Amino acid sequence: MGILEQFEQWLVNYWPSWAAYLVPPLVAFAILSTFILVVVMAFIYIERRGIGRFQVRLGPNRAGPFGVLQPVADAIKVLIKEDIIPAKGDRWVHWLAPIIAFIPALMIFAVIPFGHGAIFADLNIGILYIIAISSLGIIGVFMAGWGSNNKYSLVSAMRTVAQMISYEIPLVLSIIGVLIITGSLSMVSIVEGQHVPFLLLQPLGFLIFFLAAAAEINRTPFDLLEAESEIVAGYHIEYSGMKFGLFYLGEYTHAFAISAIVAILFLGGWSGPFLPPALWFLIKVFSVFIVLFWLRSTLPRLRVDQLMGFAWKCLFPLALINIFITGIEAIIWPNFPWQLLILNILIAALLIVLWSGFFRVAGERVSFERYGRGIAKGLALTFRHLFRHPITVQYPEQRLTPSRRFRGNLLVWDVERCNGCRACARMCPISIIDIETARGDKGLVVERLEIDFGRCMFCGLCVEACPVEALFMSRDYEKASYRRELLVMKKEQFVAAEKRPSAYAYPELEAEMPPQTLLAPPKGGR
Amino acid sequence: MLENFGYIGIFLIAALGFAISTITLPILLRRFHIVPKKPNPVKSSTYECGMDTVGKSRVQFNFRYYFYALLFVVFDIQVVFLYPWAVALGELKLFGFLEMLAFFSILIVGFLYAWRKGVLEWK
Amino acid sequence: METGIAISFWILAAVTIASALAVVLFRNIFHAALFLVLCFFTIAGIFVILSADFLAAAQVLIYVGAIAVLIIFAIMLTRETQRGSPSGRLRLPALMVGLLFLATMVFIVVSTDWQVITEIPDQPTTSAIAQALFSGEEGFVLPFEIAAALLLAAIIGAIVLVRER
Repeated sequence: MGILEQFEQWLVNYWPSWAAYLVPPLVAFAILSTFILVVVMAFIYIERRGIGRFQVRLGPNRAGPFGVLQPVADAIKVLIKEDIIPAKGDRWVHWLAPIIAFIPALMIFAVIPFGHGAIFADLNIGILYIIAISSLGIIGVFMAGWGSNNKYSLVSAMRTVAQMISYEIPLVLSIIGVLIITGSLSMVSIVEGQHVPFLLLQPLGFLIFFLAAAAEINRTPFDLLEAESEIVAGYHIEYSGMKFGLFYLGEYTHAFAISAIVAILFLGGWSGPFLPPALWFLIKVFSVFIVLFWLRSTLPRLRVDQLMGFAWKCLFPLALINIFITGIEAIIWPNFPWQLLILNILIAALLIVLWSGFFRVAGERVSFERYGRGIAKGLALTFRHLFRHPITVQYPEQRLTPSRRFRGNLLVWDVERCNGCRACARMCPISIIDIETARGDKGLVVERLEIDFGRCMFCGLCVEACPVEALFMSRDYEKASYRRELLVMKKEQFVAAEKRPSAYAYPELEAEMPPQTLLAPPKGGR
Repeated sequence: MLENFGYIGIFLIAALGFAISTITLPILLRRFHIVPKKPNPVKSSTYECGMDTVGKSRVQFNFRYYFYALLFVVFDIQVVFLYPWAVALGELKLFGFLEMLAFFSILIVGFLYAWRKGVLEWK
Repeated sequence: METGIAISFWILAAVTIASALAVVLFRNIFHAALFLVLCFFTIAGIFVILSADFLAAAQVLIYVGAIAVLIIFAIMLTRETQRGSPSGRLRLPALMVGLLFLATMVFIVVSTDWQVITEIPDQPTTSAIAQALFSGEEGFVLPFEIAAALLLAAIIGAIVLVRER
């Protein structure tokens, strides 16, 4: 008896039957969508902090204590930004696309069980409903690309759709192994049928599903078509404000949905020894998500032909072979004893190693030794990074020490030593040094000195040219200003400035400089 | 069972309402002057990394996309046949397995032909 | 419950017919394709009302997920989609053939003796469909394999179109 039916039975005593039918799902939707939003915000936060730590840097930590309010700040920013509509774009299509891209991600949660009977609607076709609804999101991508009147947006939308449909086939095929063992499509019976988690009974199915699902939601390493360095946000280039916010939210909601599906299909859903079932479910979902962004922070992107080749030549045949092997096992041993997991793991390992021999992308063989070991070493490296002290600092409060021979943004002028020879002005390749001298009692005296640091390229020729060693590069690097005029330094500013010379061209000064921060070995060695 | 689908229908309507209200919320905020609205022709023009657009907006595309979509249709139909088969494999036993094997091999012939002819590559 | 089913049926039927009309009458092909997607979706809703949940999911999966995508790709491969279909001299004959076809279908629907089943199909429907399709004695094994041959023909046709000489 699901929660909604129980609620309805209780309400029938007080209200007419149609109200008792309509009110529980609305209340449940309100609670569920709030929960989803909160978890999605938690996901955004732990992803950004987590990727930061995997890459030895601090994540966002300014908005709120430890940066916890960062997703809230993002949401507010996205709400109050101006909504720019492209001029010749198709207005209705442009407007509807984010809605159609977001709704399938939310609809998946209608059949996800969070505990015993804690499910919105226990459909008999649970997992098939999820697959069907996900294919609706593809239309949203098309609409976004078309409605923007931008040819790069259109190209990216077409390629994204091609990627999504190519990875959808291995996705749906890898679930069939689970279905053969369970014998029913309903999500609740899949969880209840897992005496041994299907991760162990279907290792190949799990791997294929995980990779295909990561590609469906366009996450690195499969996010060629919406990454900023590649095609500047792809099919959502022309979206700003809350419409982009819906795309962004939809992406993370879909990631949450995928993690939940993996937890249900392969990790055992809500089952676990001591803690309450909902807590076990959340722990499993978060661990799947952590693995997802661990992969994101480690692996580089696949190129588009590698992307398609991987889907059609590697994942799809492996999924088919997985179905056959599970089918044969179902016929020979209909009860699926747990000993089968050893056989399955062996077959999976063998297939992965052998299949990489068949798999050629752009004429180059994907050898398991090179790529498998490479990926494993990369993942181990980013895992070790979690335990290192981050090398970025909280900028205005802590500063890094630049190198000893740093070519800083300002010159240090020693007034006593200068003899007014103007060698620096003559040496400067872009003539930014402006000197006027006058005859004083002991030779030439500099009356006016102006250097335009907006154009200085730190070549250091002036420092090397000075015969009396009166010019030094400095260790300052924080000289940005709002107006160009303020970047021109005059003689009085040179005289009054705090002198922090660097050892560029003067190696004898190196001994008294502090060592550079970034090159220091991490504490505890490598 | 129909009650469950009724719940799904209500969920769909509620989700639509939620999504539409999140999009129309900035319109409300525009009334309160929290959200700016200053359209100008440069902002509404097409984005091409800061340059003016070169070429038409609709580009002639590769046949490759159409081929992938067609392949997807065929294997999607195969998947729709596979789902009931997988669920009922316990009752269908060996005969059902061999039946599906025959279905598969016919389609795999097509797939392998496509692979050998090199049309699965992305150019 | 009954009124709920009746209300949803009428709404879905109205939306289906309206979107089907929109597919035919709109000038912009992309909008017509989007209304086609809506039409498929509401037909899936009608399947649900008939308690055919597996068929509804299969309808969404194949029609919306695959065939609509195929149609939209086909639209994007053709140029000059803004103008819509050109009107020609064949409008009047086309209208007459369409009306003739409509009359034939209405006659068939009205004069057939439909067998109405009042009980709900077996739950869950998926394994019942599997038994009906694949089992040895009363199954449809041969049509199933012939469908495979049809799909193979489709793949080979597509390969012939796409491969380079």
